[in-house]
Amino acid sequence: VPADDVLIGVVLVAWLASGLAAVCLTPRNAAARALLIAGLLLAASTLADSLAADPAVGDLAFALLRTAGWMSFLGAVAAIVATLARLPEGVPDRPWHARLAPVLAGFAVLAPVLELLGSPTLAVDDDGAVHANPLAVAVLEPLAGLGAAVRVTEPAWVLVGVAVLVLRWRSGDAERRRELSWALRSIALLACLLLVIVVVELSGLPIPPERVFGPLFLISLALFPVALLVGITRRVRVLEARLVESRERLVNAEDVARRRLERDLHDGVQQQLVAALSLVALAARQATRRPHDVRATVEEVGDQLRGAMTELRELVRGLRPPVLEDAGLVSAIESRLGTLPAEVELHTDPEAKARWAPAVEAAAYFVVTEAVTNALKHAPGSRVVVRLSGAGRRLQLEVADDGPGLPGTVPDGSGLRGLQDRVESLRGTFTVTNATGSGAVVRATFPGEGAPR
Amino acid sequence: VTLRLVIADDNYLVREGVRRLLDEGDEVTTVGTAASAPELLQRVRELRPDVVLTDIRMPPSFTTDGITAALHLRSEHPEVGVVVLSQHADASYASALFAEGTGGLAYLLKDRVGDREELVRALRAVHDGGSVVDPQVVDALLAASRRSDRSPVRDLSARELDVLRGMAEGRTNGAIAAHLHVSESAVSKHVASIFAKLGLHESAQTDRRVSAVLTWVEHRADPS
Repeated sequence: VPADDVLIGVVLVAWLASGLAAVCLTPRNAAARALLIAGLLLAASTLADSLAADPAVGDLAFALLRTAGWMSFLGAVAAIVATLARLPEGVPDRPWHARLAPVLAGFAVLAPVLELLGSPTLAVDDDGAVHANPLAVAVLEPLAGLGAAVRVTEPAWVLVGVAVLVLRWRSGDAERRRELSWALRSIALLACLLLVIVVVELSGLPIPPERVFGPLFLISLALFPVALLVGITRRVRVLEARLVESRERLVNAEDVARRRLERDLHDGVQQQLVAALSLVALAARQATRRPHDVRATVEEVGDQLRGAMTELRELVRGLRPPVLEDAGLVSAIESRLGTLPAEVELHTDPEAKARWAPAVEAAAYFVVTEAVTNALKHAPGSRVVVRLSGAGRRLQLEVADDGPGLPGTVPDGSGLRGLQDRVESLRGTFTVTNATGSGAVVRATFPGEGAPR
Repeated sequence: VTLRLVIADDNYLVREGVRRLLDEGDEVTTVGTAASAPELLQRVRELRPDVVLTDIRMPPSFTTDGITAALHLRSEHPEVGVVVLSQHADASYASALFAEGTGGLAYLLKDRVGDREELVRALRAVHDGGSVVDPQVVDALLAASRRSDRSPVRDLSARELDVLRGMAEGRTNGAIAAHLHVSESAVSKHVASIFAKLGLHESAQTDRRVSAVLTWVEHRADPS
């Protein structure tokens, strides 16, 4: 019936268009790529099937086309599972989620090939006319049944993808659930329709399923990739909003830092210089009136100038310690940890002692110093360990304490949020693991030069 | 006559340094100190000093508390002269201080604590109801004034500007002449020319000259 062909066309267009749109929106997103691949394989499968349906096609061509059709269809199933496991940002929650799809893809290639090479005969058409298989390999005959069994059951593996999706939804936070909700809804719709079709079929009601449920099922099959696309775009919007927020926070943080610097300079060093200036004037006056007091006054001036210099040095170190630029990250951290009142362990590998981009060195320095200061503040007396690694041209750092853990909700409010923004603006990752009883761990990773952008 | 002084600054070192500097001589004697604007007002009520030397940035708000306190003192104790010490050379702070008149008020940069004579001169000037403006601040005020297109300040010659600056610092013609190494009669001519160009009535009293110049700069330079 042509109407069905039109609907199948709609389904294919929906898959291809959704996949294309997803890839255009998020070119580096593995879930988007998997969605597009699923669409392409579905189209290829439909094409192969329709070519094989031509009565004029020969035995060999039929065998090859049918195998190609199955391969692409099963490949599409694997791609759908990959999409569901990586929705929406392309990164799987658990490593085994990512390993599902390649296994299924392997089956998708193997099963039809085994079936092709193992079957001595081929059913050519609907009449059941049996033809010899020109490609049959006798040795493989025992495996043909296995291939056929895998091939027949593999579509059901979509359920594995659905199960992964449900698991991810259950373990996700509110934001993650919103991103996955459209995919789950459209899966639920498909499942309901399937159920109704089966029930109607079994109950023998006088409703011809191919007239009503077939089209409905195809339409919901067309809606499915659109629902996946919605999840991906929603994610893009969330990321965009986060970017705007973090940019605002960075700008505000800079403003706050400038104001603090102005205050520190004004109320600290500047006042000390003013005081020293008044004492210099006093000494000049004493020189003519009470020469014996001049020496003491000048010594006071010296004390105040030394105080101003110490304060200025502290201030400069807070801005960006010169040793960071002159001697590198590890030296700067060693020197900073040396000034702390408590003992802090520092473990570094030789690669970490390499020089990194200035912005990375600065961010890493402040993550370490801030996290160590936090640890000493929130977990006094605990063992604080700093680890730096530069393996694989990636700078990884970790600050761990064995204290009682940080109080309340960690990243917000404290300086940690600012650090997170700073690290993420350099394409790094920043995490705070805060287990009550076993201490807090702050981790940051920076991609090295030449890392994928 | 020894001036009785109250010093206000939230920084102890500055407060003590300035106190010791000014007390080194008999022109001034410090009768009290304060570390915040409310404390300053309290000290003035208790001690009835002749003059006040106050920092601009102090508790409680750490912004322009010194100016607020000076304006408060102006209305509550008009007889007390106030010298405001500030780190800011921007014209707007001085404008805020002189918003309701210049008599008995001075605005000096904190660098002046290195010059006892200038400080004492300013304290004496405000005690006599006059005013003093730091030369750097005068420059800022004049620059702001010059930016307005039709300001007659633009018509002043370089020498006249020097003289105007001296006037704003509360100097006499003689002092200006000595400072610029010219004759006093030359300064008188410049003063007359300045007053004519600015459309002001000439006055020989230094405090009224500062006041006239500042009032003019304040109210004519910026139409807003």
